[in-house]
Amino acid sequence: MAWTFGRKVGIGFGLSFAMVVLVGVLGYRSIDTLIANNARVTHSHLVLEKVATVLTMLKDAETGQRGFVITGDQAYLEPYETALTALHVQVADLRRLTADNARQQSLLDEIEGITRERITELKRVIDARRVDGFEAGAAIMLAGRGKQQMDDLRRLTSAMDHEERTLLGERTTAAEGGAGAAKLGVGVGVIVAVLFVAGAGASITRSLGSQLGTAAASIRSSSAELQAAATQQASGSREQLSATTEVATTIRELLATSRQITESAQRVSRTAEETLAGAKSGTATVEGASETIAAMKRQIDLVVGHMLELGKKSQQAGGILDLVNELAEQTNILAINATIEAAGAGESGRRFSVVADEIRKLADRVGGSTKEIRALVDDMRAAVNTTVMATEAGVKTVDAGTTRFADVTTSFERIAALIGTTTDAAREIELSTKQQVTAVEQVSAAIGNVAQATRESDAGAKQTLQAASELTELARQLLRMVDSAA
Amino acid sequence: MKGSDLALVFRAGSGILAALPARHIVETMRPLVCEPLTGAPDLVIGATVLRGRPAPVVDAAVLLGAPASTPARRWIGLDVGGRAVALAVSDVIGLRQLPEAAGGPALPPLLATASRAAVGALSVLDGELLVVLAAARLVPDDVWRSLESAGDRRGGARDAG
Repeated sequence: MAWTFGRKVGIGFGLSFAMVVLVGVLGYRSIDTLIANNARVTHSHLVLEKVATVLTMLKDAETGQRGFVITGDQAYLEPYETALTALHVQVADLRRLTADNARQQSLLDEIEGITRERITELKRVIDARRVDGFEAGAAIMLAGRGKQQMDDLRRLTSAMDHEERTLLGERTTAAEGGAGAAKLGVGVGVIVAVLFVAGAGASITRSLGSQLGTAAASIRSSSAELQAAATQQASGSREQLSATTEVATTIRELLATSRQITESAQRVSRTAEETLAGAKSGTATVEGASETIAAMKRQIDLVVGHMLELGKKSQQAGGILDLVNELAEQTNILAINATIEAAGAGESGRRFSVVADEIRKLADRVGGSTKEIRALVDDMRAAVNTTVMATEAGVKTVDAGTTRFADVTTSFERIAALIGTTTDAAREIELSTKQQVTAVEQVSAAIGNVAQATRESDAGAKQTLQAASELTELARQLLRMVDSAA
Repeated sequence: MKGSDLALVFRAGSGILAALPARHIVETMRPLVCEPLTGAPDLVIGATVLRGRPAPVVDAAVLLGAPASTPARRWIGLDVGGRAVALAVSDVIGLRQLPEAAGGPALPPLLATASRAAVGALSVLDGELLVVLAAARLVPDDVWRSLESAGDRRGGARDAG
């Protein structure tokens, strides 16, 4: 199983820490045991001290009692007074200290009883000395069991002392044994820990050297690749910087072009507005012309009406001419017939014949005149018809002109609408171009930032190249160190 | 002016100037109702009634051989030997005193197709050829006969009716 460097170090340090903890626990437990044994030894010493103190205090009380009995001096009672107040305290302490030992408690019960009896005895002697004098006191002393009591006390305290000293011996032995075990455990633990740490350190050092060597080689390889990549990046940054410069130049030209477009759009807008005004003026002019043509059409219609009326009149005149012609022909016939009759009448009808012939001539002249008038009327009717036709053609032309003018008006209106659309479009173009100029300026600023970033990237690439070189050198040094360590 | 030399000048067809002696002329008139006459020659358009008498209607243009392009605008009522004749002409000019007739049967080429019997003489009026017709020979005899027979049939029928 291939362990990582950190895992190996962690496991090594973990085991070393566990060994230290184990040694510490062993030492702690040994020291704790040692302290407990020392406490027991101290306890035994304290019990021995308390036993001796009880005996000593009784001895001092007896000595004081004897001095008072002998001298009657109150000052000798001081030890006795001290014993009266402190002795039961000492006994109580002793009982507490030996609470776990039934044998000692039994001995202490006896000691306490004898002590109480002894104190009572002493008090009785002292009271007798104080009341009845030396002899009374001495007598009581002599008659009493003072010595027996003291001997019992000495025996009992000796027994307690012996018991406690036996315990002290056992405890001392146990303490010494515990101290030796602790010394042994700590020493062995420390030796084992030192050996383990040394082995782990050697193993880690060997493994670390191998891994570091591999890592250093990898770092050297990677740093070489990084150096190559940094070189490429530097080259790319220079190319990018050059391209960015070209883009910035192009964008400046684009900006200038956009401004020119804006100015052109403004000119187009102004021109469109002027054209729109011209178109509106043209529309008004065309409308005026259309009204004039309409008036002309009305006049022509009037003329056509008059012409048609003239045609009707001439037709009526033709009818009258027909009548006149008919009358002339009839007159001519009658005149000829009259001439014939006059000729048949001989000499008498001669004058009548002359009149009839004149009538016939007159009728012929009337007929000729009617023919001429007929021709004139026909010419006039033809002229009227021609005029009517021409006028109708003119009316049609005027209608066509009116239609054309309507078309022209519509065209002008369409032109005006288109020019309005053109104006709107020009304004939109102007607005869009202004926005484009703003956008191009923003792009120019962004390109400037890009150029700055490219320069920084170039500098970074150089720094990366330098760092890669340093990293290569560092990997080489590390490899040398690992090789020399191996 | 002598009545025998007085003639009624008229135009036949498209322009042939012709004349009839005034003694045969009864009247001039507008064309009247004319009924076609079966079996009559081409120059007789039909028959009509003049002043209560039946009368054949003779087309002067056909009579003179002129193309009948112009319709007859006038009729000339004639009294020929007690018979009434209507001559359809294009125009009546009036009574004229005729000069001496050139006479002779030699008709100019223009009148080669004219009925020779009807042409009485040739003359010149105002520098223009004038054909003087013989009123008695305007209507062929067979026409008279057929007209009379028709008149008899009509009269018989009227009597029978």
